[in-house]
Amino acid sequence: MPDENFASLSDDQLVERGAALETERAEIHAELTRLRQGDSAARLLKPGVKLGINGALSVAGLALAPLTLNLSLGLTIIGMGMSVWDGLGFVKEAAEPFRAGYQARRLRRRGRDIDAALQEIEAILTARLGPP
Amino acid sequence: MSKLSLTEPNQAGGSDLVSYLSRWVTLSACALLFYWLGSLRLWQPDVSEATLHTAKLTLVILSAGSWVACALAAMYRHHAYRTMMRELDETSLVIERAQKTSDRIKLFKAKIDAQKTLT
Repeated sequence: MPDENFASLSDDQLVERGAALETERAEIHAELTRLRQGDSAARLLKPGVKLGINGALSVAGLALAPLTLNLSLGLTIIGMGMSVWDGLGFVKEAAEPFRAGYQARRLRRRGRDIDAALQEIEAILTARLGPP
Repeated sequence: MSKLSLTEPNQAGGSDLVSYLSRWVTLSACALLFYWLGSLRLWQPDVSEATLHTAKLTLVILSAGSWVACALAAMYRHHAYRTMMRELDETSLVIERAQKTSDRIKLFKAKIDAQKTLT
């Protein structure tokens, strides 16, 4: 798009091109809205609760060890294994904003290209037809 | 002009991979710990206090380690979340500016149509 030669297009073609760019701009806008809504701290709640429950199981296993001839240490191992599992899910969730930020930067670069193209189209149309 | 792909192609695949790997890591870690505790014969009546202490201490350290890792992940997420919001705000500004330009271009359509009618 940055290399497009808008000056060679007719007025109608320029307006059509502007409409196509507007469609793409609207798609980016919708994607931005999705990114804003899709990420919230509440997403950490579920893995956080699971982590708490499995942590409690681990502690209970340790505490009951003298009464159960150490067999409850198995509970600790299972709880700990689950904690690792939840922890990885937690880390995955934690990485989501990073990914969304990267995507926002990509969309911004594309948005700038679109904005520059639209401004060029506007400048050409203004030069040919006068102000709208 | 190449159209922008609005969805990350590897996003869903990446999540699946993390889930799959986490399952394997967890199951392997559990199996290894069971094997290790079995080799220590912790459930035998004559197990020594020192062995028991070592086993418990190891479990506590591993549990605490996973909790610390989660806390660090939460802190990192907070930082990444603020960065993401700033990125989204800046991108929104660019998109809003483009919308205003686009709205002005739409006004030219009426002007062009009017000129065609005159000619």
